[in-house]
Amino acid sequence: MATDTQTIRLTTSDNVEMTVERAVAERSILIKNLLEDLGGEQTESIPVPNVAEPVMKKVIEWCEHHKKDPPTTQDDDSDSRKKSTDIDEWDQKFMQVDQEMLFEIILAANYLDIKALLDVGCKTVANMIKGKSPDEIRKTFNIQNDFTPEEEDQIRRENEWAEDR
Amino acid sequence: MATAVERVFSIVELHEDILLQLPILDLLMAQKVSKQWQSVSNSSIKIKRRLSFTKPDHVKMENWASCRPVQSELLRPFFSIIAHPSGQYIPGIPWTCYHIQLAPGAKLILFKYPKASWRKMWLFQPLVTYYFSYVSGAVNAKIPIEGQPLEKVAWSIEAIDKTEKFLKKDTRHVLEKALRNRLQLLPCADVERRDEEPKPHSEPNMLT
Repeated sequence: MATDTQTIRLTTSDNVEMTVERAVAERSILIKNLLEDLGGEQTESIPVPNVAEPVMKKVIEWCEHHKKDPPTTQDDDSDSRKKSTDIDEWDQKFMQVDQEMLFEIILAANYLDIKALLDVGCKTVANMIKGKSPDEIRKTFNIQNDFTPEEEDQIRRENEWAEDR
Repeated sequence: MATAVERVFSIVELHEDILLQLPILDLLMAQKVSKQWQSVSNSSIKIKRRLSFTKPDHVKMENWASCRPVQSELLRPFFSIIAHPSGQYIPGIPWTCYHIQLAPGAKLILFKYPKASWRKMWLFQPLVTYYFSYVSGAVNAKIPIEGQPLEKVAWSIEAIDKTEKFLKKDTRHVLEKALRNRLQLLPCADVERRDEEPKPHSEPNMLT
């Protein structure tokens, strides 16, 4: 009877204990596999050493909303790549966080192995890159331009045909 | 400690995942951001495939007909390609014969930049077996070229356009000779096949 509302406890990197519905936590393949390996009732708190509490909260929020989604298939990236702007409305709102948090969520999704969340994160970042000049991209993500003028000139020459239309 | 932004971009797989969400033009531009961004593009098979810098993995060299005619989305607007004789492009149907035309103005852009990266792209999957030239919207030459890569045909036509002057009447024979010569093919002996001309297609684009 209790299987649906069974909860587990997670301990985040900053030593905060969180109680989460098991079905929600199992959106994370890492946690799901871990629970399966441990078997039976999980009474101990599971350490999540790579994710801090504020990020974990966001991740859990996402998992709760997507609790009932069908499990993601291991499919090729061929059809997800076509619709890069295709992020559902709830996810778009969910991703309206500061840049550092967005990237923290991506790291957490990668570590916890939550493919769909990772995908939404990558798409959100891709949307930030889209249509920007290299210089604007550098400014957005605080990246140093480490090309020599000669190297820069060479890449420019290779690609100006594509811009020139 | 590095910021989350720095950490994400330092994990090649994540950087790759992000770049793969980009449209091709943005993907090409992303190489200009920094050496690290460039090296992610250069070392990722998936990205190279997306940019057509390498051929699709599921296709064998001999059997490219299952691929799209012009693989690169970026280049597709430059060419107009029609399967012949059905006049339709049907995915998955191996073709033996194609109409290939450079779209108006395309030559200029394609050939203006000698270092252009499109020259590294796998443009066309199946080999081209016929080259059609047009005068006033009608096919005036159908030249058998026995299976050549599209880019080679395009370069040859470009080179011929620069060096040869064609009279309308003689275009077919002069062009055939020049083109086959450029492609290092033997002179065409099959006169009959050459004269059997296809019905003109209602194509607005002109090459010759």
